[in-house]
Amino acid sequence: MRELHDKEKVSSLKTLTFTPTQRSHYLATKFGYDEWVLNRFIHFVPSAESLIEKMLEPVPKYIRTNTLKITSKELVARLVPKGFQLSATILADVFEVNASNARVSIGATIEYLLGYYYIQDITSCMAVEALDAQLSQRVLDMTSAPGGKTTLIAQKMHNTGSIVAVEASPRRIRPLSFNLARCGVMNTSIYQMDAMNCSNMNVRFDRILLDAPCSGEGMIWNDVSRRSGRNPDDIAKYSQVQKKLFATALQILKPGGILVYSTCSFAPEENELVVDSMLDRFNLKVEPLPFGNSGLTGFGEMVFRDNLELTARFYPHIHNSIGFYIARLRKTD
Amino acid sequence: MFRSATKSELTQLRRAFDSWGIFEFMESQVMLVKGDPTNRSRQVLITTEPSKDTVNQLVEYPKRVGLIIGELQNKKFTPSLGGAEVIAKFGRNFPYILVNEMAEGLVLYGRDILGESVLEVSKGLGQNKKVIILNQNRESIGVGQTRFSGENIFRKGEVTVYTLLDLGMYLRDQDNQ
Repeated sequence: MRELHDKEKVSSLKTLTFTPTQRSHYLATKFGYDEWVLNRFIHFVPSAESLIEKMLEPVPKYIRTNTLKITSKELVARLVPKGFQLSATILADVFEVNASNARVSIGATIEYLLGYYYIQDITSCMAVEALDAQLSQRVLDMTSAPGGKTTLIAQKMHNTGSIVAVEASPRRIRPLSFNLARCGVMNTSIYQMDAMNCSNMNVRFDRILLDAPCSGEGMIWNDVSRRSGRNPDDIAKYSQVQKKLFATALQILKPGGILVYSTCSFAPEENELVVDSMLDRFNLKVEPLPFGNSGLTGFGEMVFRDNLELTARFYPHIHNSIGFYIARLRKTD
Repeated sequence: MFRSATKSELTQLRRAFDSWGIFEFMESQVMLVKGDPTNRSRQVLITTEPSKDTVNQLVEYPKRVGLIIGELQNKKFTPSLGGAEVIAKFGRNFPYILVNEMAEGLVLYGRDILGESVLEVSKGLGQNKKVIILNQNRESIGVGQTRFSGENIFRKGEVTVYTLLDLGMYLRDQDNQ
């Protein structure tokens, strides 16, 4: 193992914070954020104030048709008469749902119980789109519960090949298992284990999805308690864990295979910095994504590779989704 | 342990699959059994050949593989919700009852079925018979057991079919997490 790169040393010391300003103080007080959080947003989010204001609105709800069981046309024909308004999105089988005229919630219909759709944010679907899983491949989902991305991978593979779904928490295995059953998934096996131990697996994978544990900054819209009470050290700690998981994944990825790295965090230390440090250590090609804003090539004193522009950032005020990050990397040796 | 069915299990299962009308469908599936052959109860599941290979190659022990279609207990096979769906979709001449919309809603809360809610039953349905509960779209919404046979299943004012499994379990289980 080589010495830590300078940039990693920087990140391992502390999460980047900035000198408070009148603007950061005003916005933090007005919207109930810790000032260090908001001040960071000001330094890398396009139009940070619009982001904060957008996150005062109701969170959009998306459903994804489970094409293993039904077509989108058939699903729409069943849900619309029940009062659900479904709007098309840039992904063919994903719809934004307006349930204001519906008699039941979108999570309590017979169609939901029959596994005809899954409720998940559009960004989660995009991470699976980026994975580009093919029929009959072997795929690893390193943090799979509650199964939204796993069931979509199975759908993309038409229930062929093999998916290994790893989940560390025993408590989350049951909902994962139920969701796989509800969605009629046949090609998946569930392993309760720490994803850090995946490197011990004696098989290699064509595709790996690492939706890494993160600070969850991008979930502030869903969970206002995340606006405050957090510590900058949390981000640095997650960043270290993410790098370890990333390196673990690369050990069991086949040459030519694709790794998709994603987080629901805005923090560059959990996103571009992690990918950049992996590019130092492994032979990887960053591949372009057809959606989202360009990844950052710098943050404060940090400078990242230019090709990190090919990674994708998602912001609530721009993409009408939770905050999310996706990088698609191909192993070149 | 996940393994292929023993010769004796295969005989029992084939007989059951025949009675549920999925014999032909199951012949084309990769089937595994979870649990030692001496266990009283064993899960039966279907998966893909590559998934089976992966499970065999990995040293780690999986919590779950593929889609559980039922349970083999005392030489008898009872479909799971996944199995009931397979039967409703691919089965021929399987035992079923078809219920009205109101009963559909009640079944999803685990409630038993009143005779007046039953719209249709399969031919020759006996007493204490396991059945697939279908809604008016002929989709499986659960597994039941008849209290009566034949026309008595339509008997008004009485529970005529017990609900053993229902799709609402997916939600109730999540709520209990």
